[in-house]
Amino acid sequence: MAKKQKNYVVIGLGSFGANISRALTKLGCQVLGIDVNEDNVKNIANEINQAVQADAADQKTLNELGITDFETVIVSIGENVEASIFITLLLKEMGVRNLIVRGVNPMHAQLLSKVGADRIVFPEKEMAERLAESLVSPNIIEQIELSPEYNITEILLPQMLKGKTIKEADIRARFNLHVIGLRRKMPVVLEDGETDFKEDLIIAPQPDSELMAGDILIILGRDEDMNKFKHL
Amino acid sequence: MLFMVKQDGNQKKGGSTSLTDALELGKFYFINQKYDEAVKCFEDINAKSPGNEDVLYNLGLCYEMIGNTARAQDCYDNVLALNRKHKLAKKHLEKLLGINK
Repeated sequence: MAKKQKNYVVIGLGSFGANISRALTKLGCQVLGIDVNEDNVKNIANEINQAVQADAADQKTLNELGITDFETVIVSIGENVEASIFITLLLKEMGVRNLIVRGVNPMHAQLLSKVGADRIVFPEKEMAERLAESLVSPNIIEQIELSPEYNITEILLPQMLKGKTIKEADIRARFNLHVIGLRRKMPVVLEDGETDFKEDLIIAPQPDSELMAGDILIILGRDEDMNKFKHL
Repeated sequence: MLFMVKQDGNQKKGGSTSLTDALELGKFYFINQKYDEAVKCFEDINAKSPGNEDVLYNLGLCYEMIGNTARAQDCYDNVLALNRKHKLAKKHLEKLLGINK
């Protein structure tokens, strides 16, 4: 049976809204984009499933577009706080199941939360924090927050652990961190003679697995323990 | 390094090796996971014979391997400035920039 496509509505097709619409489409999702601005709609019309010029503050229009049939609605109206709050309230009252709203400041976020937003995102703030983190700790490849305390972190193997086995590195005892996987790049020669590398994912590496240059460790642990490890 | 490359790009005879040989040596180090040696080799060739897309691409691979993503990006950028149709450099650059991850 074919896998059902996930579907999303993006309200507000400015920079953030347009980019998230493109990204979701690229990931194989069905996307309906809505904006009152004709230029914003025209700019993305050929890149997503459907782009409509409409006023999302009008309940009749939203009904006609079948907004409640979609799994998730993303409200990406940053600059007009009043419209963002009103549309969030309207969508929640209409019965939208999963409502993600772009916030612009803490006060806005508080109001969005009160009117029913399921998740509030601060793209600029989150991007800025990630950029700052990558500048300060360039070895961190990716970080997934499991809870305010625990993360799964992908980190480039510190130079001093190169050539050691997992057991010798003793990351668990020394740092209270758990190596749950390893991404390893292996050089290859392609059919046309060109060089490249392929990447293997090793889940739960054995204690005698040797750590090699370029390995990326996938580590589960507390933030404060990871902070010690990343400065190795 | 033993190789030498003449300014006009021709092979120098007797005792020295050509750009191609030096490139092959760098690839040999790369394939055998001797990344530090490979980087040194490709950097050397690049200093003596700049603007070679094959050298820059392989240098980018080595830097990516050892986790120096900033240098790897520079190398792939330079390859694409020389040849914007270089598929492998484009693929690696997009991956580093978080596109098509």
